[in-house]
Amino acid sequence: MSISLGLNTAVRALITQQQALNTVAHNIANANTPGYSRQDVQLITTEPFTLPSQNRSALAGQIGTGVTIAQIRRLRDQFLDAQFRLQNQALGMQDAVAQGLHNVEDFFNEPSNQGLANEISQFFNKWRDLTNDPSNQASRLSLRAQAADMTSFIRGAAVQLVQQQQNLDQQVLGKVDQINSLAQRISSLNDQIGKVLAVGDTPNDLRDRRDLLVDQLSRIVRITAFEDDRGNENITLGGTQLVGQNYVNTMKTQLNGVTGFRDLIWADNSAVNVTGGEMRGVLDLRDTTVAGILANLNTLAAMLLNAVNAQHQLGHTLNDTTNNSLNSATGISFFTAVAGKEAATIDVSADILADPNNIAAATNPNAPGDSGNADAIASLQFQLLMSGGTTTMEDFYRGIISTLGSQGQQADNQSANQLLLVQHIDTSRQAISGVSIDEEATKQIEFQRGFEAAARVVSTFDSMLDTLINHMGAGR
Amino acid sequence: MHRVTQKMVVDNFQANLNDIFLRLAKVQDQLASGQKLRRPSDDPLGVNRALSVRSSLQLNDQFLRTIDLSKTWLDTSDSALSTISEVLQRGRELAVQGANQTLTPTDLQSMGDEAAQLVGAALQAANTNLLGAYVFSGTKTTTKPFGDLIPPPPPAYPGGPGQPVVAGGGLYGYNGNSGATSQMQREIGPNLHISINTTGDQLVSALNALVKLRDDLQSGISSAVSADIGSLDAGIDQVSQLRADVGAKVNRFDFAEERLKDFQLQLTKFLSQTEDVDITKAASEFALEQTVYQTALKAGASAIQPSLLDFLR
Repeated sequence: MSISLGLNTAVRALITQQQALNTVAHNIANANTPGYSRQDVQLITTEPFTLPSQNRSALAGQIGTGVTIAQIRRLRDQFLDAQFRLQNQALGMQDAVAQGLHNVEDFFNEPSNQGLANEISQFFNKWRDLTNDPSNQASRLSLRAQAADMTSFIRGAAVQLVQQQQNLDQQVLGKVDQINSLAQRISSLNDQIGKVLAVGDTPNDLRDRRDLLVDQLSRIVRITAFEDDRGNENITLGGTQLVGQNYVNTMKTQLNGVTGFRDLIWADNSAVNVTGGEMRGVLDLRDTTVAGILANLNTLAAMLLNAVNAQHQLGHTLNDTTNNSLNSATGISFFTAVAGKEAATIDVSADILADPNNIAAATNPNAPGDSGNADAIASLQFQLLMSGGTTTMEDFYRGIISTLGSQGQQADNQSANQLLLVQHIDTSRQAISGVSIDEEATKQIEFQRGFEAAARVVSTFDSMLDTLINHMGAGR
Repeated sequence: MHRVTQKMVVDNFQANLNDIFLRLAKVQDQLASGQKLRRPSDDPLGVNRALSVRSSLQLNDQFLRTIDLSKTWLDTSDSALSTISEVLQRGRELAVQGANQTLTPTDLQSMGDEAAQLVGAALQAANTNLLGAYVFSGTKTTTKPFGDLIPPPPPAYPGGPGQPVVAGGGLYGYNGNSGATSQMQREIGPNLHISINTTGDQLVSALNALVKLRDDLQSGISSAVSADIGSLDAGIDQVSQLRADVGAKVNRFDFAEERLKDFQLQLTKFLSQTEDVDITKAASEFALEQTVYQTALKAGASAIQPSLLDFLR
């Protein structure tokens, strides 16, 4: 048994403690790095040395040869990762929906004295003002101005809703780019990790980076991800593989001729099935929520146009005291709009704009004080014209607003709940993977002391060798 | 054992702080604006109710405005009818006086001059115009109801032949419209309509009774004058009836106005309850959130700072 055995043991200890300290330093350095999992040095004893002896029983069996690092592992719970990603996609979806709905709420500006509810109610009240004084120019001008305000509000809302849809369409495009870029990066990390694993190392930091990218992807779109036995992250999106071993799919967009917006397709032109994440939220907003509000606004504008025009055409104007009509069959229209695009195009008709006397306030010809028709138009406010004869136009509009409100409220609540859930899961992940400075400081002391002690052992062996070499035998 | 790291503490602290600050900002916004409903998602049901109440309030205001204008119209009608009624009364006095057989034709003729004045006054009242609209023309508000004389019928006064027909003689015809289509309907409640106008056709006989009195007096035939008393009485009755109708309508409008004003108060109160912030409640909530916020800051400041490193030399 040589002294150099002990010296070797001590030197190995020095190296091992130093490497462990390196890992402590790495952990401390990355305490605030997103996605970082703390690393843990697993120490094991090196192979013991069996002393060669002819008579085994006289000696102890094996001599320890010191310590070495078995592996440096990262502490991470794959199950929590899957949980996190599942809830993160729901958070992304609710957040996107809540934000979109708040934008829509903003331009309806209710409840206030500047909203459409107010415009509609004022519109009918101006007809009542005209009823009180049908031959008065001021009443006619003020009614016409109110009608112009109301129609311009409706058109403005329609334009903003369409713009909102276009913004959402742009967001879809942006998210497709993000998805493709993340998929590419995950795939190239797959390659790198594969190479590291092939030489028997543990690619902790690369895995952390890959997991972070998968986390980011999970917010944008709902995915399922698992790591196969060769270390490849396999990601499927709505039943289609996005990333696999040496494989990346590409998401593309294709303009839909009917909707005018972009549909999502894969590289092989098959449809993308988006089931969650911000992308689902944005698509839902674009294709269902905002489109629905726009359709409702259109229904309202069409009813306003048709009901007011139908009644208006029955009346008599101040100009034509015998027969109100420029065209004797139909009478004068109060509103005009392009059929099917009422909300976007509704306006006061050219006849009314040309001359306020063309407002047909009278039921009977040749009667400037007759305001029967103005009264009939005002009473359209109470008629159950909408939703199959169950609601008034005002009720219908209020329905649009309260539905928007309920959806917004629901999305807010769900997004808040979802955020709590995601935070909770992330806390659980942090409990396992997060770096604790106190813990690392403790380990630092531990390994430092270990290093110091090993160094002391080295110097002890040194002095032993000194004794042997310099203070013994004939050499003195 | 559940590990807790510095980053978890910091993250939690940030999330909580953000949460508290969000609540604080919301209460602050409510306090500053005085409104608790800022957007539909704050309270979808409340916003629906607020919009509904707002619309009702505006409608109510509109009805009150209509009542105001209608009452002006009714008051104008009533004062014109009152003038006509007084004129007819004076006409009747003249007729009773003129029926006295002892008066000379000259006396009668001078009374006839007064009767002519009365005709003018009645005519002026019957042609009353309110802001460009003739009150008694039905819905033909720009047409003067009584202007043109119908050509005089052949002189057939019982005074007998030889008496001159008075210059400008003849009866007044009505130029406005009448019947159902002439009614000015005013809405003073949802689908509740009241007609506010009195059409001049109902004044024709009363006016022409005066005209006939004038003509008869000017003709100087007292027996004919005596016969006019009856038609003047009928005219007086007719105008009283019209005034009673107008009065009844004014009462209905007054009643409706009172009711609408009550309703307006209720609606305003209801809207305020729906939309406005309860200042006391919001202020105490604000104070509470402020305390929570400061406490969180303080706790965060002491929890985040130290680590084992602070105690290692």
